Amino acid sequence: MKREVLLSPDQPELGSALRRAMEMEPADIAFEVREAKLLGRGGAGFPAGVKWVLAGGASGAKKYVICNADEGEPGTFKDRVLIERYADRLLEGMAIAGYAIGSDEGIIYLRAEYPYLVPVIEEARSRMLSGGLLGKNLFGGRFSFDVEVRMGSGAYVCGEETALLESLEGRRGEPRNKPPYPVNSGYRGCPTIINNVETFITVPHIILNGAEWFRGLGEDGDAGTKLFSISGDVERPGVYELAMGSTIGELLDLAGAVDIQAVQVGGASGRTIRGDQLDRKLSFRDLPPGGSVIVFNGSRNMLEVLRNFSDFFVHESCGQCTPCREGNRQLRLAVGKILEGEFCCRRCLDSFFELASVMKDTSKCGFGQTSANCFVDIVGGFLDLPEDCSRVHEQNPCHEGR
Amino acid sequence: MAKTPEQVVAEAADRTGRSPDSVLRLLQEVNREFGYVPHEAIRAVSRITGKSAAHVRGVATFYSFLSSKPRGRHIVRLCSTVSCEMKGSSEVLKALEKELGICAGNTTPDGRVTLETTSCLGLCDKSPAMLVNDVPYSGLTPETACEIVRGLR
Amino acid sequence: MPFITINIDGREHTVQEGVTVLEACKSAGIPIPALCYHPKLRLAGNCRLCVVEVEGWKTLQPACVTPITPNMVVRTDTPRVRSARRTIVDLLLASHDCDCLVCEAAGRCELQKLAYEYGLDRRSRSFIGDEDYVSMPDESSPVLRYDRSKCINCTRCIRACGEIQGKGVIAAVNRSRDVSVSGGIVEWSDSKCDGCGECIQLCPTGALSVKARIGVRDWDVRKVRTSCAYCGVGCQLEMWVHEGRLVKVDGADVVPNYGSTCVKGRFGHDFVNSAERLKTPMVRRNGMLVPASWDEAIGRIASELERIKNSHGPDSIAGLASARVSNEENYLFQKMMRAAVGTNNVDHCARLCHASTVAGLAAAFGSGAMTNSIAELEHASCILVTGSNTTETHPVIGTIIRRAVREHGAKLIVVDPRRIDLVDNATLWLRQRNGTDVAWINGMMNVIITENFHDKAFIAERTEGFDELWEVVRQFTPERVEEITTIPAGLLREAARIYATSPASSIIYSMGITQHVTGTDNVLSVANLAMITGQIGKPSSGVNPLRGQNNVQGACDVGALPNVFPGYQKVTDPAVLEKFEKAWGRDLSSRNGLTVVEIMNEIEKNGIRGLVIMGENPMVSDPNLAHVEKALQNVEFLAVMDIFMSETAAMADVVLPAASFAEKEGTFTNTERRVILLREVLPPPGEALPDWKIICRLSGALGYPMNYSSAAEIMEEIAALTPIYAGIRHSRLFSEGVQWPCPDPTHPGTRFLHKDRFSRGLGKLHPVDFIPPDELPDDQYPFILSTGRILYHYHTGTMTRRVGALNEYAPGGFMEIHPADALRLDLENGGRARVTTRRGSIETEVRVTGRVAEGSVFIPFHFVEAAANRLTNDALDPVAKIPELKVAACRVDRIGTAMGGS
Repeated sequence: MKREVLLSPDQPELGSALRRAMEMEPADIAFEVREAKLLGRGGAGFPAGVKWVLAGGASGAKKYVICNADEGEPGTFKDRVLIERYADRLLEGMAIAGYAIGSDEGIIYLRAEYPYLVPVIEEARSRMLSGGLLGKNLFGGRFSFDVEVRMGSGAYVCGEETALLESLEGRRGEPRNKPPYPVNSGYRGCPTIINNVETFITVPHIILNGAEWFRGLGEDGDAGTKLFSISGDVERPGVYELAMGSTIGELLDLAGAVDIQAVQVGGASGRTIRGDQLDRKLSFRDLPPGGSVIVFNGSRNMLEVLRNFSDFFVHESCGQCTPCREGNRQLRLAVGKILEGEFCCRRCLDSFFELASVMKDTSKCGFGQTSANCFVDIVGGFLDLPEDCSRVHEQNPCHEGR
Repeated sequence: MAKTPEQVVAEAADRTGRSPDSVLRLLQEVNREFGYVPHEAIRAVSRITGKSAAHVRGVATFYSFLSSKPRGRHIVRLCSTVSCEMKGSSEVLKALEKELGICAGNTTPDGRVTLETTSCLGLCDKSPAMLVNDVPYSGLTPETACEIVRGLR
Repeated sequence: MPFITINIDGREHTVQEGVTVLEACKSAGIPIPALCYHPKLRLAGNCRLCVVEVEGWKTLQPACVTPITPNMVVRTDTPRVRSARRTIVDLLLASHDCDCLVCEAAGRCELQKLAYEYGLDRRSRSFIGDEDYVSMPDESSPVLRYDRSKCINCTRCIRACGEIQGKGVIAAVNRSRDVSVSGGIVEWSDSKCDGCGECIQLCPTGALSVKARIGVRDWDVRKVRTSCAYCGVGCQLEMWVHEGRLVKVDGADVVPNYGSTCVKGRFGHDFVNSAERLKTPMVRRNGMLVPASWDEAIGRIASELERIKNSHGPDSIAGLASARVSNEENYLFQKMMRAAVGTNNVDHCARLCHASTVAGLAAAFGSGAMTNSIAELEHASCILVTGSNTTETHPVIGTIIRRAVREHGAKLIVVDPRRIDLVDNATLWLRQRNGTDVAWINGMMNVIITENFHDKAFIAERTEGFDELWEVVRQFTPERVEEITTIPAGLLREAARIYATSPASSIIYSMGITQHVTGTDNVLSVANLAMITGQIGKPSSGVNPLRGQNNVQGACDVGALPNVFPGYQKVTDPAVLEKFEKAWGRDLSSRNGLTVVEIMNEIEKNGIRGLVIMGENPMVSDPNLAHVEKALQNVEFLAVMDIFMSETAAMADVVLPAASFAEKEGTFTNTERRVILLREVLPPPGEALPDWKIICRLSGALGYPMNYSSAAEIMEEIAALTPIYAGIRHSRLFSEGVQWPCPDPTHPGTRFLHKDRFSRGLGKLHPVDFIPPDELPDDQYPFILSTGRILYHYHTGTMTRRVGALNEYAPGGFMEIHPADALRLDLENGGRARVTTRRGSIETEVRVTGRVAEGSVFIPFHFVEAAANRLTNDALDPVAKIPELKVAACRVDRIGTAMGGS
């Protein structure tokens, strides 16, 4: 169900949420965000308030608030739209986070594909600085906060928060082992929270309206509203804000879609559902909503779609851990063999489904843990392959010995 | 007179600092200045940050937007991800390749334009899309794309 | 540390808190496969083979990086775990060049073992063979090969280079399936990789291998542990032998090197296989050296020495023992000279390196050796390195210093006229003018005392002479020191404060301190500095001279010196004399003998007529070579024992073929006073014999029979006569060696010296005033010349210059000169120049570099064709008789190119 808060034409006064926050105890803010059950809007859905509480309690001479503006999931552009319209609200949300955890320094890690957003953010920042909403001793108190923009350089995996930290520290964007988690040891070894653009922009609304209000926005036990970038075979591609727990069908009605063969929710690493499953819910309990929704009509060859995504994963894996580096490569090779007709039955693919589950089970970060999803969904749900072709291939069964 | 990679690195280091943390930012500055990261720049960054040349090269080769080969004055990055492909990016690519006389991944012989395909540009609501240097163009057709590229000097 | 209980595979295990699941499983005896894990390295968590089920987690957890928590329930052997591991090995094999039939790593390859364990033969592999990965290996390094198609991206090599070696040269490049390991920008050879090979040793597959094909397989070789033949670190090596040839060397994972080696240790032992090894005795007949029998050669030496002794007395004969051969051999050599010939004229090249250490530290502390253990350096909080280019001369100690800085946060202060590599890791670098060491050390003490950082209690309880010291030191204000040394006063102050206030400061020095006419003064100053700050007699804190040669410490310890018997017992002490006369059954001389340079001088004056040299090459190593050459030509009779026809052997009347270090039993004593074992890895070539057997024959022919059945038996005799070695027996040395002093066979040895009292009782502070070097630049010779070593060669190059890979790294001699001087003299990098001093002149290649200061020239001394020692000054330190090899005045002239440029 369409419900606009972030995108509402009627926005509260800039700075009012920060002012309200600074009348509260820092720990109470983190607690409020936790109570609001705000789950991370980048896609992983980790409770933002829990991060804030932990980082607030962690000891460190310095703490950091980092905004993950590295949305790289194919089909995702909601953060771009949010920054284009609400860069100032983003900075306000980050400042509130800074006050809540005791940090005076924020960093926006902006993906290399969005260089034209730098002036947008800088303009908002100078407005905030001159309005006394960023900078030293805000509202005459002891709290100071400022934000710096740092650019990525074209690596999807840097959307993973510890890879992002590595990149900020000037290294290859290779995800770290956890523990330690960033809330204890993040940027430069200091307690750090890393949240998505949408998460930060949501925060001022929670501060102004309260946790209970926010929880009430969602449906079916999911809190708040959520932004979706919708593209592909729809009449009105764009960003839509819906209550959490809305169905895919509700979203597609807004964007206008017919002859739906498949919908991919959560980007290439999300889930792909068939056109007859439109009552599935956009929620962390059903289809985790990263932000991207791509619609495919009946004319699309889903195997070609899979090939495109497989290329993407092979190109973007950091290459650090075995299951992701080698696994994505193997899945891509398998897609090629299916396209060539060499893999012609389910049995040929047994070991690749097994591989997909091992990748999910053993990869170091979310990238490898989810990159086999589209293989499983598309090969499993959209291809019409016989169970076993060994009778046809008696001389050289295709699933033995390669 | 054009700056040498060493000069660019030295000047950038005044802003970014000289710690190993600065490696990526220094490389970004070099890439911005020259369109790619020459070997001399890798050596200069290595010297200034105290990290080995291989380490610096490791950082440079990790990121798609840092190039290790010389490139054209203008860089055209056409999105090749699904949403854009569904809206005809392949046709746009063919047209651009024909217009420029090169395949994706290459630079025109006169050093004017480098044509690349790239992962999702986040402009899927206006597919197909491309980034020309720092400027986004969307809703492309083969004709409009070629016209934009023709305008690059 | 408290213990907690966890459940692994259904059984309770009590393990130490803070360990990982993998470590817990290991201690419980449960095997966990892992490729990227290595106990010496920080955790990577990359290969994902070690995954286990942990209750409460949705996905499998990597055991190597998962810390244990109380009541954790872990399952290591479920179908899910087995399937995951098997899939991962299968994946690795799909992109691995499985040419095990010809792979150097076959037999020790960890991937091969796993493939076997999981039964992944060609038919049972699931994945699509991927031909993309096959590429040409990078063979640009002189010593190693990197084959990407066998690389599993475990990053053990990268971590080894950074964390163990402290170099951080290699790194991962590219992304995703294109990831590989790189040493340089384009290829391995354009990096700072110095070829230590730590990465090869830790590579689990054949991705990194020794470039020279070994030619035999792991299971065909015999592996024997022994001690390295090169520097004083005394690295323990594992030598791979096949059919009487040495085929490969690995570092042994024990003290002091724990698996590490330098490029020479790992790749520089080919010389033992060399066809040029001496295989028969040779005697000079009609001016030519021709092969002879052992009887003839020994008979000739004995009759010549007898003749000279009968006509000119025993003191007309001298012997040069060797820092290159074993303790047992040096002991027998000096015993032969003293008991059979009857003279104390026995010395060796320690005279040229650390005589001033022996003299200076004996005067200050009572014993002249490294006070601490090598391993302790890793935990020093401040390390002051002066006059030691440690990473090139004692590479594995250099590595430990880097580790102390990089991994443990030690502060490093380098005081050196050259910008040595350690400067990269240093907190402070003080560049002094050559030969002004007493001044800056006095200056540091001036700061420390003035600012009240000296250890008053230590000075009062443990030392004497403080007031006299202060009388001199008070004159050395930082400002005055700056005038003498050019070290900025502020830097000197900062260095003094760091050194004095760190909890455990250690001084490391080497020949930059000792090889001066003021060498003994320099050493005394260093000792003063340590004593007034109480930075001695503690773990990781003391005065640590790094001894150059593998057995220079031992050769001194067992009496290859003209003034002392074994154990530094003075020949002039009647009680000592009596003890040795009784033990050896002969009347002995109580007159101090001559030192190396004095022997050469006496030959010219006909004072010395017969000379026996064991394993030394003074024709390259000694100062003022023109003089040495003349002496060796003029001496009536010269006998040389060596493994090669060295420049010195070529001038001999009789040459005896000796066994190399790898062909005999015995002991060395490394720089940390550790007596370490040598094993017979190979048989000696031809008729060559271990030096101790040669000495026994020669001594017998001289009428003083020696009958020993083994080197171990000789050590028992040494122990009986040498208090500091009294507890040393070969049988105790098999695992780790023993550090002297070791007064009895049950004593564990001594890790660091001077704990509660100095060897001499109270430490003696010596006031030392500054004296300039013997020869200073002037209009005619305007540059300061300094000499030294480089990593890739050793001493006179007799061994290393016969190793192809080392020559590839460093093919020939060169001189370093500052860019500003090069500009003035119109010298080009890579061009030729002539360097001239009052004693000689050489031609060499020019290297223009800021490593040297303006007005200075540095030349390594290894290269006979451009022998630095033709230039050096043989002026002596009056106490220790060490020559001033580190400072001479020289002139540099450009040599025109073939094109007729000049």
